[in-house]
Amino acid sequence: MLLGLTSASRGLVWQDWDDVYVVYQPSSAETHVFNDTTTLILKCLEHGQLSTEGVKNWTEAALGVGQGELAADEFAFAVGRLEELGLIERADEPIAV
Amino acid sequence: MEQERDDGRSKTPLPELNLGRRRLVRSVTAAAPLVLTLRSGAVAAAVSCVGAKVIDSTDSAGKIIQPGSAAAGDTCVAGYQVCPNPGESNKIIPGANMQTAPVTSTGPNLFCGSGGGKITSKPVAILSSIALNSFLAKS
Repeated sequence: MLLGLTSASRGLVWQDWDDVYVVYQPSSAETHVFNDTTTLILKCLEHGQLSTEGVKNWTEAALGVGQGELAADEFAFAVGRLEELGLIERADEPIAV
Repeated sequence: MEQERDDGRSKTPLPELNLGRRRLVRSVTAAAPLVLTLRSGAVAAAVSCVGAKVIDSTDSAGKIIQPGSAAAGDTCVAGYQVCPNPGESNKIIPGANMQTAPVTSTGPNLFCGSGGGKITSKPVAILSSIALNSFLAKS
């Protein structure tokens, strides 16, 4: 299972606010609050699709925490929520760009 | 940092994270992802309304004209305001000069109040006891 960014995620407007990011999504006119971990999940998909496990590993490495320290259920919840927001999408096969 | 898009609006790319500073204060639990979506002003402004069993009127004798699912033990409320939220016209919010009376039954008919305490010739909302508690808490 591969994860990839949607076109909506590429139009986000970011504002760094202390330890979190306030993120405006023009496609839905919604405003979100993300922390570093969520931001890294999106950031690691900037350069192309990656497996779910690959995204988790990359995010843990970028955060400087050990492998497995990012709880699988919390990671899965965040990925699911980002998918609901239309910011990432899943595909069994690579998505044509 | 800003990039100009074809439609003239600007967008910002994903930010460069200053993780060095943040690692100093991050615990393992802080690695949990945070995804919050703020409510829009319009949604936040939506009023919390209470659902009525029936919205009807009483006649000059205090009889509920079309009682529907109303039953003795429910409460009649007059002087309410209809919920202003779209699609919630069967709900109510407190009004300025409200009047309440228990639903009573006489034979097959239901009335708002009894004796001289009836609510007569007025629009009334019939609330269950649970809805009444919620409604009064908003008053």
